Formats: sequence, structure tokens, C-alpha cells
Amino acid sequence: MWFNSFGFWLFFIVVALVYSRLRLAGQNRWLLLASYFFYGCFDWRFLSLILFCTVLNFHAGLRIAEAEDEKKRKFWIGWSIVISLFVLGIFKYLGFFTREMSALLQSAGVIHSPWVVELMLPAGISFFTFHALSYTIDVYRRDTQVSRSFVEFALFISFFPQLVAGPINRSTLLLPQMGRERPACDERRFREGLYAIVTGLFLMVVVADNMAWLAGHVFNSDPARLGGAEVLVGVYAFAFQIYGDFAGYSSIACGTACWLGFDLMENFRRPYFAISPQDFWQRWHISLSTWLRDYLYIPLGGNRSGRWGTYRNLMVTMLLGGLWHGAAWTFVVWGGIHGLWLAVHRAFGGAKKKTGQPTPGWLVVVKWAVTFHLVCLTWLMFRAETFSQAWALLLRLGSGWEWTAFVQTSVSLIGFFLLPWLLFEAWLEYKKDDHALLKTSWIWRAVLYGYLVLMMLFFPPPIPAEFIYFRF
Amino acid sequence: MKFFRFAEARVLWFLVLLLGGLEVGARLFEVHLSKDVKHIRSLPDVAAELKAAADSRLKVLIVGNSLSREGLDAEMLKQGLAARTGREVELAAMYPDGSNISQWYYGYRRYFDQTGAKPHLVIIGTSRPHLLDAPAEPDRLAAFYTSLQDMPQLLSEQSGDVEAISKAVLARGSMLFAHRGRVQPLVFYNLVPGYTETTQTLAVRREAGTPEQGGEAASVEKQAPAESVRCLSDLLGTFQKEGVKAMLVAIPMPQPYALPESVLTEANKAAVPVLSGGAAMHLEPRYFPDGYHLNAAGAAMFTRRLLEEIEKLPADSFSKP
Repeated sequence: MWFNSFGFWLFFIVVALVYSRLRLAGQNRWLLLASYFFYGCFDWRFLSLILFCTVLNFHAGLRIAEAEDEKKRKFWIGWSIVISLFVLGIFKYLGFFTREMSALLQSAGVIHSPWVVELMLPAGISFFTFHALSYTIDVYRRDTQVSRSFVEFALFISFFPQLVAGPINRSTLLLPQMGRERPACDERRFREGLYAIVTGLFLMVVVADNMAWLAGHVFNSDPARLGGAEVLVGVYAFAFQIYGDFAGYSSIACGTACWLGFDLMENFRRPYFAISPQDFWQRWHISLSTWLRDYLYIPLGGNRSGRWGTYRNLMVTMLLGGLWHGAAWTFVVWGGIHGLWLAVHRAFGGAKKKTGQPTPGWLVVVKWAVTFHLVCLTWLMFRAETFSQAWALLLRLGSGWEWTAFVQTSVSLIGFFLLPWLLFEAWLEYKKDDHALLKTSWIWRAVLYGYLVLMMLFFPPPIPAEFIYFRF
Repeated sequence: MKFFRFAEARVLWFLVLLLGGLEVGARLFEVHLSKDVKHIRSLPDVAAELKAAADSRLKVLIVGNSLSREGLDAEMLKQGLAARTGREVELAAMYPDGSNISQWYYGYRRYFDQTGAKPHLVIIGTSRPHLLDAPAEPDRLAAFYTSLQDMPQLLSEQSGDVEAISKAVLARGSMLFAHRGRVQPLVFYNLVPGYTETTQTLAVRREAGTPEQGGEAASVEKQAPAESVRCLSDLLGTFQKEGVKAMLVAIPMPQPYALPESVLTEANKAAVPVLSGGAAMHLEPRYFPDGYHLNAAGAAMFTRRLLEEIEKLPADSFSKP
């Protein structure tokens, strides 16, 4: 049940109507039921998994809070982390591990036929595992109150708008909202929710899905048959596909939650306007990057471990961040490249605090162009199925720069679908206000929504695309 | 739903008016969108004319798609049938582009059967795949072919698929929604340089796929269920119930082909003659200028051949005695 399906909106209308008639306890039970139904629509067999994750971490949270002895607290936080990551590892990484191990043993002549164990990946497992871990770690650090209501905690883990693809909300933000009366959907909430939903749907339905078939052509073709310009436009298309897909999903999650009276964490802030790798990670998948910063990078020592220690911490964090995205070396290398880039940027003083002097306009443009293209190049590694494909595509970039029909079409379509949207984002960037549109006259919103709705109606993708982040 | 009373009311009204205006526009100008829409919208008049024709005339309805439209010489067929039966012929046709048995089944019921415009004889023009059950676009079916009376049947055929049901209901109620797919090709094929070539290349590559995968076509073939002809069976059942005679006519294609065995069995069961001469006809490429449809000379040649086959049919093949 995707956010861009009629089924989801019928489901949401029923949920919201019943929800608006209930009081807090009833609302929580109803939302929990709805969330389990929502998750069951993906695969009902994995409901037991999310229930297991919930019980495990609820129990661990209680034990951590009750323990007076530091050893016991450490034991229970360790228990929560190890078991949660073990479950994640079994479902997500067992296939990868056995495949690599099998290849190694085969090359050493220990075994003769491959021995690979592949399990079906439960929807959103990486998201709800990190979600749950943030809770037990916060309880351990005494950053959040322990939850004594199972329903509230279970809802915190499984709240349907953010269940399968985030944002990864912190217990400090979301859990308190489970236990208190939530504001009704007043004018402000309706307006903000509508804005998030309409823009999110546009990004998913129009941008992501229309870019998907252009990117798919390049990444599903034999690299030898492609020219450099074709690879380049394919990489651009993928950059906007993954942005539209994920930012759109997150935006709809925030919008629907907003209508239900919840405030979720912002997950994207115009990432392709970033002017450095550090800036990019403050705008892209913010809930994951801050999670990794707070629960991995800082505990590793952050930037307090000296210069080389900081670089090591950046590399470890980004390598694991890459692995979080998927069980493949291409993801690890993608994370590694970002780690290296962050380290190099820091080494050259790019991460130093601003001096207060404004950066000249031309320099901002250069920095933006460099950042955008380097991000795009890393997407090439991210999207490629194998290293050899990534390398072959990379080599093709240096040759065959013909203006083929595919290049003409892609450039035209990227312009057609993205130029008005990017101009709008540029305006938001200029205003330095994510909600600038909500502060203008209603007519501007009406015009923008009219444009977005008509684009969704008249320009659906020629081939339906799958939601990328579902796999993570 | 308190918030509907005040929140963003002007924005929502703007959207409602915008969509409402476009809906009115779609209804008023839809016949200008394409010849196909014009043809579909003319079907009530076609049916009315058929109904009004004297019963002494042989009322013939051609059902098919563009293959039948281009592949049959209507005037020659009319004269040939008149000569064969000794009756004047009233010829009507329902042949929307890209249609197949689902559209023919619902379209026949909506425009002819349920309006009382019953022909004496239905000639179904087809090539190999068009009579086999295939996934149909429920929105297109609902908007252009299915009567309100048949909507429950159409919806029940979607096997609880909420997306398909929602699209069908929306398309039945909104012409803007029903025609939404026509805008993109109109814009892109005319304005985006290289679009035609790119879509063709991509379609070919998708079908060919990688050598290891055996291509999309291979995978579809592997996954496709056994040939089923439920829709054809229902359509022939409707004819039988109403005493309408039918015949299946295989229209020539650039390459000779054979009609599926399941189609022949179903036709045999319903005692419907199959004139499959066209399937075996090997015509030179010049008769297929676009690589798919017959030209006028080819149509005349084929219709002549068809009339020779019709000549051999028993007299009760054309109308109920």
C-alpha cells in the first residue's frame, strides 16, 4: 500500500475519520491497529517480526530504567542492540554474507558449489530497527523517559506514516506525542499537511517515476552500447529519481502525520542545493544522518579524537551508513566515498565555522556545481549492480559524446519535469524558509497546487516504477 | 471534519474549479482529441441507425479494431453479403483502435445489446491475440465501453484490486480522468525531440532484455497463464441468447499466423463459423504500408477472398430463420 496508491488514501480517510471521533487512548489503539493493518498489507507474515522487535525493546527499556546497577543497564542496552541488530542482520545481510563466504570458500577450493541463504527482506526493517534502537539508547542515556504503556510504545515503533521508509524519528520527539492529547487538525495543520502531501505526491509520481525509466535505460543497458552523454543524463535522472522517490515519501509521511496531529522529523531540505558534502548530509536523509551522528559518530569520539581519529570516525560512520542502505559492496563503497569526501573536505578546512564574511556568488555556484556532480557520481556507484558495471559506466563518461535521440529526450524531459520544481526550490533556498509558500497569498499556493495536480494527472510515468527505499 | 469549513478553502475551491473546468472541457471537446474517441462517441448513433433499419434488411455489425477497419472493404462486403443473401444490407461497425475482446464484449452489450439495437449478424475481425483474455485497462473499459448496468460485473472482475476498481470508478465518472493518458503522448511526441525514437528503442530493449534474462517478452511468456477465452465465450453466449448469428474472421497480417486452438474450440462449441483464410494469406509488404494494417488494395483483395469463403457457408449462417 504505497502513498501514491488509491488504496492508501481510502485507508487514510477511514483512519482519519474514525481517529477524529476518538479520545487519546482510543486514538492510540486505533492507530496501532491501522498501522499493523498497513504493515500487513506488505506482507502479513512479518507482523510477528515487528511485534517481536517491539516487545524486545519495550522490555529492554523497562529493564534499563529499573536497573540501578550500571552493569545491568549495560547488559540490557547490549541485549537490545545485539538482538535487534542480529535480527536485522539475519534478514538483511545473511544472503550477502553467505554469498561472499561461499565465493571465498569456492575460490579456496573448500566447497565446489555455491551455498547461499537468501531470506525475504521485510518491508522497512532497517527503519523500525533503528527507530527502536534510538529508544533504548535514549533510555540508557537518560535522554528520554521510559515508556510504561505498551500501546504507546508499539505505536511509536509502528506508526504507519513513517513505518516502512522513515523518517527515523527519535523517541525524544515522537514518543511523548503518543502519550498526550494531540492537537486537532486546525487550519495551520491542514495547510501544512496539504503542502507536504501535494508536493510529496508530485515528487513521487511525476519526478521519481518519470526519471526512473530514463535512469533504468542506462543502468539496464550494456555499458558498451552507451555514449558518455547518455551515461551522464542517466546518472542525473537517477539522482532526481532517488530524490523524488524518497523526499516525496518522507514529505507525505510528514503531511499525513501532521493531519493526525503528530510532528515528524524533517527528512530532506533541498539537498541538491548543497555546496559541500557536509552541507549535503545536513539536507539529505536528515533523520538517518543525525541518527548516525548521535548514535555512532559521536560515541566513536566524533571530532574530539584528533585529526586522524576524526577522519577514521567519519569513514566508519559513512561505511556503516552505506551498509545500512543495502547488503552489497557497492553500497559500502558508496558510503566510503562519502566518508572520504567528508574527511578530505574537513582536512582542507571546509568544515570550519564561517568567518562571517559572505561567500562571493561565483564561488557559491562553483561549490554547488562541484558538490552536485560529485554527489551524482556517487549515485552511479549506488545504483550500479556491480563494481564492474559502475566502472564500465564511469569509463563511458569519457567517450562517445554524441547528441543521440536518447540524450535529446532525456535533457528535454529532465527540463520539463524538473525545471519549474527546481526554480521553486531555488526560491525557497533564497528565502531560507521551508514554509515560505505558506506565508504568501493563497493564490500562489493555488497556482502551484494546480500545476502539481495537473502534472500528476496528465504526466504519469510510461512504465510504473518501484519505490527504491522500500528495499532498505 | 471541521477543517474543511475553513482551512485553505480558497485554494481547494480553486482546484475544484480548475478540475471542474477541465472536466467540462474534456466532455465538450473530447471528440476532437482523436478519431478514435469520435468513433466511440458515435456508437450510440450507429446503434440507433441499426435499430431503426427495417427488419427485412440484413443488419450486419462488424466488431473489431483498426485491423478490421483497414482490412475490410465495407462497400464490397455489403454488396457481397447482399448478393449472397438476397437481402439489402445495413452495415454498422464498432472498431476502436487498440481494442480487443474485453472492449468488444462490454461495448457490444452497452451500445447494441442493452439498447435493443440487435444485429442479425456480427462479424468479428481479429488476428491471433485479440480474442484471448488479456489484462485490460479497467479505466478505459469503464469510461468508454461499460454501461452502468455492467459496472458491477466489471468491478467484480478486478478481483478486489483497489487500484483497478478506483480507476474504473473514477474514469466512469470523470472524462478528464478517462482521457488523462492522451495528453502526455500529444505533448511529448510533438514537442520533445527524439521522443518517438527513444520510446521505440526503449520498448525494443525492454522486450529483448539482457541475454541472461531472455528479455521481458520471454519472462512474460513464462509467467502468462494458459490461454483463456472467457470473454469470447461470454460474448458468443450473449449472441446465442439473443439469436444473433456471428462469424469470426481472421484478418491478414504481414506474417501468416494461426488462430489459437482455444478460440477455435470455443467457436466450434457455439457453432460460430471461423473464416481463417486471412490468417494464412501471405501478402507482399506493399499491402502493409505501415507494417501492420492493410491498404485499400489489400483490403479489397482480402474482402474478395472472404466473400468466396462466405459463399460456401450455409444459408442459415447469416440470420435467424
